[in-house]
Amino acid sequence: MRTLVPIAALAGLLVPALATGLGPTVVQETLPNGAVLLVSEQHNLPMVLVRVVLDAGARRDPSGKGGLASLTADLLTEGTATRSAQQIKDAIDFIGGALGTDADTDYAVASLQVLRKDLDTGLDLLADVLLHPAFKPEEMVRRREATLASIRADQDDPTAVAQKAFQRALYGDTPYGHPVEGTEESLGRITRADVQEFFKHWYGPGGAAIVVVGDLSVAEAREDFTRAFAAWHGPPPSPFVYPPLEEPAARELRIDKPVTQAGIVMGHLGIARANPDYETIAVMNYVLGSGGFSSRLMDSIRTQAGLAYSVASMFSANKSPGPFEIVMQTKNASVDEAMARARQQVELIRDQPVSADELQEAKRYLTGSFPLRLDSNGKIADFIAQAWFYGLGMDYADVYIQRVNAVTIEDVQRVAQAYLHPERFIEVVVTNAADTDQAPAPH
Amino acid sequence: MRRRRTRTGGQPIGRLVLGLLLGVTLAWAAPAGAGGYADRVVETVLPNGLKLIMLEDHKAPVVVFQLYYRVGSRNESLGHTGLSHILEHVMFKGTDKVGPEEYSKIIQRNGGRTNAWTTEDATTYYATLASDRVGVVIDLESDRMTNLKLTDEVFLPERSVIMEERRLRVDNNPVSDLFEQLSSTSYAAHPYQFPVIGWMSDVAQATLADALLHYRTYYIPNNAFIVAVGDFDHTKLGDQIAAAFGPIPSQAPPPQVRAIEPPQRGERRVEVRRQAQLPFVALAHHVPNLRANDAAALEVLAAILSGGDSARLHQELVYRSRLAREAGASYDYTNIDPGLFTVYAQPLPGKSAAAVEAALQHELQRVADAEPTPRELEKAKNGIEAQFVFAQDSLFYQAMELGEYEVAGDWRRIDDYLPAVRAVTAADVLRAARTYLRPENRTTAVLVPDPPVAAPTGADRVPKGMIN
Repeated sequence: MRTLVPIAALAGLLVPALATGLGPTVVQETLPNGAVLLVSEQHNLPMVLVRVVLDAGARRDPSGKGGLASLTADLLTEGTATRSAQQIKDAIDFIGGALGTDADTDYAVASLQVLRKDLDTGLDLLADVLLHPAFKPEEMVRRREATLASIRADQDDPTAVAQKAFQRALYGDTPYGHPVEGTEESLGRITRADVQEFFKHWYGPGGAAIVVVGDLSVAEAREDFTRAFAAWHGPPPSPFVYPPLEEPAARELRIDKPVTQAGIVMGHLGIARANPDYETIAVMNYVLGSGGFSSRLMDSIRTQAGLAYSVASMFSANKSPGPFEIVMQTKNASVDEAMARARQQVELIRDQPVSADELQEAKRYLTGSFPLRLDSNGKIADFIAQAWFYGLGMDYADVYIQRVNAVTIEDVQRVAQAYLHPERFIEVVVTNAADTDQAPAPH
Repeated sequence: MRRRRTRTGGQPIGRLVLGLLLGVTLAWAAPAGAGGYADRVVETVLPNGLKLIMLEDHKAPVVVFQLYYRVGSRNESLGHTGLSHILEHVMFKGTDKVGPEEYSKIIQRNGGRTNAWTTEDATTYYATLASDRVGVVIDLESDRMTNLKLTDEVFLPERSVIMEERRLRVDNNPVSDLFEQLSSTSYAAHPYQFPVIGWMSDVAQATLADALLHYRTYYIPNNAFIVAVGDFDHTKLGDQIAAAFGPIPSQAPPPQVRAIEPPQRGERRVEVRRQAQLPFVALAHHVPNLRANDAAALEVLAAILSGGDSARLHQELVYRSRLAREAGASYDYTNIDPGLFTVYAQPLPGKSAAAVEAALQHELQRVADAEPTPRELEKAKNGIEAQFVFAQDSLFYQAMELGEYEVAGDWRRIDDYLPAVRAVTAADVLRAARTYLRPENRTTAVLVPDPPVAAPTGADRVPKGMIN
């Protein structure tokens, strides 16, 4: 049952010298109820961090009920069979800790941060909210109100408006087509029974991992977590299957809004996290638009032309293919020029090989900065949670470095041609039509 | 809970939105704190006046290097606002040795991350690198402390970039717009009234000569200090820094800010009418900073009002009366000059700004009427103590804490923080509330959506399904 994964440690930790890898030392076990326990001892501070990762993200939202996963996660801390919402908040605040639950696109996470001396109190609260949430009707009303207000507030941000329209245009009614928090319409359709049903299906221990990082031994973690979660039972969740998705044809959407600066999103379907080209794409995208001031988009649109403060390209590599997006903001009058420059850079990286210098810089940044992704307990916990959820392996830090180092100029051009398709771009521009002097019509 | 700078208006602004990673992250922010540093920090001052503040922490093979210049919007004047932030941007335009925007590329080529930010009080440049690469940033920073090369060819596009940054942060963000007006109304005599990013017309007219004058006046070793935290040997690192920065001559100290804000004698109000989805209300009060005896009591008071969801503002405005979607308090603890204690809330759709303002006033009256309960006091202190430990999880945050305290006078004051908080009594909290959170010492800012928001649709109409 118990599998040891001795992956070494960060230099400078009190770990024997046989450690050679880059990632944190992680011990992986399976609890009697089927949940995976992943422990990384870090004794430099008297604190403990816990992340319970569940296959209960927004992709599980039933059609037309976008926001259900998010509402369910939010409601866990709003009352249990024996504790009111206020009692939970008061108990965690009294020990100066943090307890939170949150749904993302693919997964949901319950997080706990406490001082070592308060671990028992914290664990008791964490287990209670995960095992016995009450989903009280009055708390549902509150949560829904708060979410509707936040959706409303988001409408002030042209980039947020553009991103939601882009997501909808790209994915339609399929699971990635709605915002994690839902929409004004979909939230109105969610019933308490929906929440209870969602919880029953996706919050069992079978598909869950408990990541523990901090000042406790593996033996203590095993004992504490086995006891705290003894009453947690349930079968593994059924596998998720993304329904067939036909990539939509290219189009441009202009949304008229009285803004001085436009929000722009352009892109198309991207990749899944399991794509074997992931690391090669990371190198290519660093050169194109994720490498900050080293990136070509930043150089062309910001440094050379002064058209934007922020411009970047990103692949959201989810369980199923997430979007590839270029996101930027520019004053209304510069919209066309900024978009033309972005398209030009995408064409260029497809048509011509990157230089040896660019390749080397990207590889040196991506490999050399890896220790920076593991320099705190919080970052270590996030790394382990992701490595587990996406099945990367606990030795992924080393695998990543090897793969990045192996990328060639030809590989970069190959993935640019395979994964960038300007002829399929969905382009969403939220702008003041009068200002841009452009008819709000598709092209 | 402990936000030293106002919620949105006065947040540090930088030359790049943070984040360079591909893929997804599970973000969980590390909170605040300070203390126990005097035994571990080594301080050295070079003959030219440059101070080094070094803290060894060997938990990861990483060094955080931060260079602070003691200049921010506090040092600016009418018609020339935003200059410190403009200079922060153009500092990346190169020297004889390093081409425009090469700085970031060199750091990234060495596996490091870099950025910069400007506040009211200081301008900070940082790089986080593997321990064996720290020499790279030392060379780059010592070079550009004296050898900045600027031409209009690089200056003018960067000025346009900053105008885009202002459109992004202020024009497209009604709450940020409101906080700008809150500051400019709260202060009459002190430059804390200016936005760090500057007024648009000032930025649009700023010249290369303005930036160079600012550079020559303030970017001198005796107006700067370095904070390094991480995996290094302080003797070796100190020698390395001294070799690179030591030859730079000290200069006449820059002009000191003389402004002192006079006491406020009566409530002020400001309204911002603009396109916005929801109103927003903020009430700011002049308060002393960390140098005053009352500072610890104000920290505890801020925690009692907004240290978590069980604190008063969230409980009363968000949870119990369901007036607001969020509510909180912030206290400018480490500002160089006295700052503001602000409470704020954003109404839920369908709720009025007036009702939310009245509820905020009611909570301010409550803390001035009666002492907090013993449990509230203990909870506030527990929260502050725990955050002090959690803060040490991050090398970067530790460096930032040391830097902020040093900007405000002396990094050693960090060690006074927890003992002072522990000593705060319920009577101290009551006295602080009565002394500072008075209406006569208050500026109220209200964001008014214009055109008015249509009658509430979703919020007050609960679908049947929700309560079945």
